[in-house]
Amino acid sequence: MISTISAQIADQFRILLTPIDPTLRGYRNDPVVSISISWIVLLCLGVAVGSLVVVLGHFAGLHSSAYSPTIFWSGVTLILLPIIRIADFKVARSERILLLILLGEAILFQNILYEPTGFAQYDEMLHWMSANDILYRHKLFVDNSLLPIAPYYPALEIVATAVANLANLTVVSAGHLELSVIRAILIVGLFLFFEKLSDSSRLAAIGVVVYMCAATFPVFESAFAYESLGLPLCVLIGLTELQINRAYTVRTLILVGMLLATLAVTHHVSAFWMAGYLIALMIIETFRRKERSRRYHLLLIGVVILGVSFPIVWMTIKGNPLVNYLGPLIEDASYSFYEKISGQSPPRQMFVGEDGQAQPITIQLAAIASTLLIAVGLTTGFFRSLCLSIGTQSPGWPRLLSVMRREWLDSRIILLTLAAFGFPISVALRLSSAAWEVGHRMSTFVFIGAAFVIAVSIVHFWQARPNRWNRISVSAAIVLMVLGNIMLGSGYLAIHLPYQVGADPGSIEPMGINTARWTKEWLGPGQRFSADRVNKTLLATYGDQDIISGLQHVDISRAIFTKELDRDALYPIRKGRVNYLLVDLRLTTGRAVLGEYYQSWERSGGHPPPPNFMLKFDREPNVGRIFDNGFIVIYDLRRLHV
Amino acid sequence: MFNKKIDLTAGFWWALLLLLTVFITDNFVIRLILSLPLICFLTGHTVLRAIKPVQTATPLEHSALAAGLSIAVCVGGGFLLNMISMLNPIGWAIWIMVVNGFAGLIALRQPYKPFVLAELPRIRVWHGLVLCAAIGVTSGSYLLAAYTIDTFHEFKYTEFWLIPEIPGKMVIGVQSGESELEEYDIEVIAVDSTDKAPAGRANTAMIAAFRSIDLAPGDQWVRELTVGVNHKRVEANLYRARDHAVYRKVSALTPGPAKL
Repeated sequence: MISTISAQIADQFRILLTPIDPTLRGYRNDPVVSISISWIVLLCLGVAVGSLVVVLGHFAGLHSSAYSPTIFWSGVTLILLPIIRIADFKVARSERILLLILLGEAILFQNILYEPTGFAQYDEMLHWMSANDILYRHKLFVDNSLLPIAPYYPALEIVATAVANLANLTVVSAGHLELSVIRAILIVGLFLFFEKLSDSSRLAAIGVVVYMCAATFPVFESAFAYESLGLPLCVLIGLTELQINRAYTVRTLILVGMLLATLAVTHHVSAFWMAGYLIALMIIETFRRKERSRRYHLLLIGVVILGVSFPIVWMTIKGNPLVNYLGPLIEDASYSFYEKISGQSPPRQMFVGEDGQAQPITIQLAAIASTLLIAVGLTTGFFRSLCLSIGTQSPGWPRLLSVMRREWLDSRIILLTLAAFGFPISVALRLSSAAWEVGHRMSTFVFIGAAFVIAVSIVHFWQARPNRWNRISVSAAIVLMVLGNIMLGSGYLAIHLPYQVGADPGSIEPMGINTARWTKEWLGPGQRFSADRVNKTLLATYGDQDIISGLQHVDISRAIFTKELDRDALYPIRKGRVNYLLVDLRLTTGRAVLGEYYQSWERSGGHPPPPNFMLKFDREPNVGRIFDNGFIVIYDLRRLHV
Repeated sequence: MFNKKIDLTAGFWWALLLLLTVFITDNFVIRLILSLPLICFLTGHTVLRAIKPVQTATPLEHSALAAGLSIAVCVGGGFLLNMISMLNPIGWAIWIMVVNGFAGLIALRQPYKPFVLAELPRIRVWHGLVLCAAIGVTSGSYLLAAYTIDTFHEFKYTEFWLIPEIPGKMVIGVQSGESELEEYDIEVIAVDSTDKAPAGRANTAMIAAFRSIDLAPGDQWVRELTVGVNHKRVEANLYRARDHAVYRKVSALTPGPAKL
């Protein structure tokens, strides 16, 4: 009697654990089918129409139409249509690859359509400055007053200016071309990496689509910023490291070495992540019990040495400010995270912008649904992924014993599966305001592991025996995940709207650009200028001016947020020897969308500066008001620090 | 099957052609067609064949690595050209030609088993038509987006400026960003006291006045003013003729330092 009851309980327990057990229920081999050109061209047309609808959404947004979100997000949904075919069961490998490239490029193109003739994201503007310096001054390492680290990691700008030089294009056009090429490299590289690990083109394709749910994918990885190049290089290095298994020759080190050296001068964080990956791989490989090749191990050690030494050597070259750049960032994040877990800090309000505005309910729902689906995918895929590389075909939990006995065949799969743990950590970090950025950026790399685990869960559990219903529901879930991620990543700055205060891309419009161009034409480039957050990027890029800001330890908000031009207000002007001050009176009209008017530690208290504070310079006889367009005023402050 | 050497020689001649083109034309279409394949693929392909890490790579893997390696070569070239002060179109063209030539020579000596490409699927006429339509719609979207952003001017404004040029001289200018033709008047006043003073006060003097300046949207009006060196500052008011109210106000200090 007791044994019957215990057997029943055990059965129920086993059924309960079925979704997460390590049994691989899916087909190990992909079905052989021929490529369908009809599907490809029809989906190309669907994506093209989606792009057109996206542009109409921007048009409606600029004209303040209430329908703009409906139009815009319908267009984005059309762009995501290839996912349905990519995630399907009977699709040719080459078709999946073509559709993946189409999808990846379409998401990038959707980003470009926001501002097709210029860069608009804050980070893009900073790299644009460095690229302009290389293109017009014909030399590297020219100081960048808004991102001092950028000249020391100039790979992205070098390639863009090479295209600009040779093809006689602007940096923006060359940058967009470069981004489309590196997007294709990322997609193909990631596909090949996953495919080699799993021996399944279907699993690899699903993994790449799921990777598009990484928090940084829709905006950061589509931006003209160094990480956009750093990530594809990481993926290619991972791919070339796999080649060592195929040919144990020292020659393989040349290719890996070239890519690692390029990565070291491309993006600091990517280079350190890659070094971390290689070290972790070596450690896991050392633990592995299966037969090992001594030559492979020596080559792997060689790769690890290159992967660690290149970024460190580059970091220590004279003038590289990496420690000063990353140090405070990591320190703040750690402190904030400690405060968070010890309950000392108030919770960060989710889905509420810095200006106090809540995100639309659709975005909130899509983001929550997306995160929940990722969590479900990780839960159902973790043990399956962990046991993917063990030799035994036995089902159930005994498979896990092989992993416990360290009898896996491929250490990379173990590493990627463990890396997926980084996803919940990155979500936790995003709950605190200072650690938010670290958590956000971290997801770029840990999500490679998460994408692999989720793809394993789809192929070997959710769609293990494909039928009409699980094909529809899985495709719909993936579309929802990617759409939710794009919604969350872009937020309410996805659609081009009329001018908003302190909204980075949402604050860039022709009048501000023309004012910056005016400074270059009439005052000449290289003047010591100060301005608010958005105008300083315009002055630095369109105006080619030297910007004096917090990075030079000059808090210009001190001169703005005071009623009188007293000694305290004069301090930053004199300290920074600011020659010209651009005052944008539109800042007085509302709270900054991204929370800051000038810089993060400004004296605004979250409130806009009153107009009389900004115009107090009119009362000062030693200040010239040299430019006025009714919204923007430029003051000549040169006499204040003579 | 690929001919064993044709890709290597083609890479070099392509690079040479790019170098010649850089010397003779600024046409971006021709230069883009010649330069983009070299920067994004061909150079990496040649170098990959020269270092030949793994022979068994598939065409797709080879393409991905070639593209990545092309970027790596480009980045390396950037540092080298910076050292010899040649970060310009000619420097880049020479670098790409040298890399393709040198790597091509090494690759020619390597044993190489060409890839066997899969048979192309059958493409029907309607496939081509739909693809052309997709390309057309995508290009149209891009152009429409550019046009929308370019022509959407949320703010209507007039720029007014007064800049000290050399001692005794200033430049005054107006540029219209309004939606229709506007008529402006300008008055320029010299102020001898450091106090700001409206026109008509004892310590001010009218230097110049410009009447009935008609500016269509986008038009610019610029004059050089001789203001002398005896005044402390110069102020200028811009009036809109239709309401004759002060529309914009600027000022500039005449050269000469003064402590606060």
